[in-house]
Amino acid sequence: MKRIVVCDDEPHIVEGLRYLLRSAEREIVVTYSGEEGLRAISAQRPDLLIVDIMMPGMSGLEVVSTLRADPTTRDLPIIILTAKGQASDANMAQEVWGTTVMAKPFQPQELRKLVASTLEIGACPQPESA
Amino acid sequence: MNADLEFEPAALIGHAREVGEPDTYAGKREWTRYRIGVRVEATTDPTRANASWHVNVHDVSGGGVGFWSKQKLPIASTVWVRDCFEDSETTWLKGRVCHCSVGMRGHLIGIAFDQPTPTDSHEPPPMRHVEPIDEESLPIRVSGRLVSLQTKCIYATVIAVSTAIAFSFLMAQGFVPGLSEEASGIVAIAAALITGTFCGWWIARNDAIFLNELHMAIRGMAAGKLDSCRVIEAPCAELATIGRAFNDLWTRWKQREYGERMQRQKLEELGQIKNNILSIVSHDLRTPLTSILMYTNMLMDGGSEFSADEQKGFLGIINEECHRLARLVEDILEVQRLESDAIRIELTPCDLAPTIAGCVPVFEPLADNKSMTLSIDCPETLPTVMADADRISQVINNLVANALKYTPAGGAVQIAAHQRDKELLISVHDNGPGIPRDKWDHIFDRFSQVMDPDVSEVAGVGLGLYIVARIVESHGGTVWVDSKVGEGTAFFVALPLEGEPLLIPSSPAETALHATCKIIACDSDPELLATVVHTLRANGFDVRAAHTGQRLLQHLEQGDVDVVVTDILVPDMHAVDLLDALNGLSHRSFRTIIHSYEGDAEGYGRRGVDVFLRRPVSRQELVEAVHVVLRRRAAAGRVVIVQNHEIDTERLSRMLVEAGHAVMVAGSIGEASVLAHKYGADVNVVSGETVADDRVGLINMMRKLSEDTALVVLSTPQHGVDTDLGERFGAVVVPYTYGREEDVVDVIRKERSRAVTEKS
Repeated sequence: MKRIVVCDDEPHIVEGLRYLLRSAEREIVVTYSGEEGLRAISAQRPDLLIVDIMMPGMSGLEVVSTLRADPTTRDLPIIILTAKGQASDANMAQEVWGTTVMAKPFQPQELRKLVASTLEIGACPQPESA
Repeated sequence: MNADLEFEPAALIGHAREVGEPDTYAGKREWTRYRIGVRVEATTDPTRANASWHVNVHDVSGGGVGFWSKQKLPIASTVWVRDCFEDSETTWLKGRVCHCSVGMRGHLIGIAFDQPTPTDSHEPPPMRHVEPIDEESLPIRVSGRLVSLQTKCIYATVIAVSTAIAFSFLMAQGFVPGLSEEASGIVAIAAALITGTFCGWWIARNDAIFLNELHMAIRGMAAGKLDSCRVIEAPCAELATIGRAFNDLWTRWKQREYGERMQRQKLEELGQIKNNILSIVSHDLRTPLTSILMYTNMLMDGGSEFSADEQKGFLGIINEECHRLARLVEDILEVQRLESDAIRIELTPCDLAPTIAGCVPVFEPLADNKSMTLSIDCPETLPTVMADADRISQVINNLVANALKYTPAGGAVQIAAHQRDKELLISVHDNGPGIPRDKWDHIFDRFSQVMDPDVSEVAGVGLGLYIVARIVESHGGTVWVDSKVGEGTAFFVALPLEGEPLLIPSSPAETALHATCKIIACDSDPELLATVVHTLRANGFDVRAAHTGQRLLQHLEQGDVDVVVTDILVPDMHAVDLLDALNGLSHRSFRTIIHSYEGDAEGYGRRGVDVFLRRPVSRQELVEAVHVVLRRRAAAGRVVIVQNHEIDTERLSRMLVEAGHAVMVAGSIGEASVLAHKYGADVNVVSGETVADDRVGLINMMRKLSEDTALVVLSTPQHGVDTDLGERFGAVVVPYTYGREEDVVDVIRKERSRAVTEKS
């Protein structure tokens, strides 16, 4: 059983992801803020985190940097979703923390594929050039 | 063209009358022409490249210039003329062709310059970016009284000749025994030659070094390295003249470079704002698109995976997100329509009670979703107001949508409406997180979230409240916010029932001044502040709001404010501290209006306040008070004093302020030039030491930057200034002794009125 934590302040997106990614061998935990997401991660030890960048309160990047600073969650695979026009922050996260970035709006099929391959290898697939 | 001659109609004509020779044809026509032979550039279209041609100004007549042209120009057609120098500071002068006749050298064209209209003279000079340059940074230093090159040559010759005479005399006396007469003569000539050569070399050495350094400086300038110029000292009077000219040129380059840098910086800032707007708009567009794409995809791919209820839910979400997109697009279009005045607001007498009540059902589903309570407190009928019900409904919808958006689940939102005095007060309260006071200044601005650098989280483009403010203002109403962090926020809309007109009648001359008058209003009470801002804005003034004393001072420190309208009680400062801070600002070119429940005009007057208004203040009184200070400012001058140990700056500026002038104190001539230029000062005051010989270049620069400003030079016991020097700079020289400022104040007053008369 693989566990995925989804963290986004947009309820429709969170709900949609729950439907999009659901399968018999996955458990999907939904959270609506960065703080809630962190709590869920420390309680549930997931195999993957999908997090939005722009959230009120704690932003997605703060969540990622907190996780990377903690030895128990340092290697947690993370997929960052971003709806910002400029992807500079997200690109930095990709370079520094080895997370995968998906720009909104994304192709649902692509996200599905990315989640499947990440869960399989236990880490975010890195771009070939890296 | 003559460097001292400003390219400006009055100056050109004045110059021609003074130095030009009257034409022999004088008397045969209505106007006299004077030949001056200035080279100018003329064109029929200044926007087209290469459309101009160089001409010699042949003559200057009563109202313009004349020149020979190969082209024939139709009478009354427009021609632009400017100084031949390719200088960004020279602007095209617009003229009309009033004479065109064929002569021996082509067509003789006469151009009359358009007379500036009387209102033009009221307009402040356009702001130009000027970098303060102090004398230490000028590349060539010209100090003291320098000997001329000729005198130096005479010295060398005199020394050589006297050496020759001395040797001849010594030889004749038999100084070296046994030498024949011829040999003695040769020795004397040789000695004279050696001494002369040495003296010549020694005297010319500094000149050669100077020229070499100047050469390096010019090469540096050509390579665009203005700051690499080494400071060099001019060795003689002639080279000092070249040095001053070079300093002038260098200063101009420097100012131009500075202007370009400022422009670049501004463009970069605008670019940054544009990027932020794009980023936020794209965020607000991408989020609903993501949901729509995801749900449609799931329905298309695996419709059978989901139950009928789930599928229905998906369609509901898609529908909701489509509406969200439509709203965003609508908001952007709405702002565009409001700004282009494409929206017609039809004011009809109406009872807004049904409109207000009608907003509740729209939001009930949304409130239920977040388990929030949405309540209304409104009588069944409200007094009639002149309003556009659809627009007011839009206002309430925007406010309620905002309240629901920012209040966490389980919260409460209340809409209320009732009559209060002569207005209808509508409010929307919530018990959400609240808005800190320092954000209130910008909350109704367009793209307020983009402009605010502190915003780390983005919840929307920030157009809703801007739309609200625009609609309410077009109803002659007022909108404001009151909030406590952690307790909640309330938005208020006040619509006038009838009566007090918003537009206060003013004379056309005064109305013309409104748009150029920058006002900062400050008040602890958000409602009163909104009323003040709105009243002044409706009457055409350029008004900004500050909800705290600190914000007010920040605005003032940036300069560029004409009038301050403030409550004496601001939330973050004591009354005395506020007044002290206002008086303590060194660049005090603004006037102060204080309104309060307590105090008397005399007491405030002693503390530098121009007008005191006792509350409650009517709209009429407020606008009248601004007129009073503007008139007072027009009657008094703006004086810039260059600080110096020779003068009691503090006492002098206090006395000038008491005499009604706005006083700015500058630390150096460079700073004074900038201030005088920026604020259109009437009088610059400098002390004897400030105009000492070595600062001639800077004084010249000051005269160029603020040519309309009168210059008063204080001749002090330590540094006496003779009237000659005064005449050279077009300055008035006044004897000054420490502690006797009264006489100076009187001269400044006279100079100020003279400067103003000349300006107009």
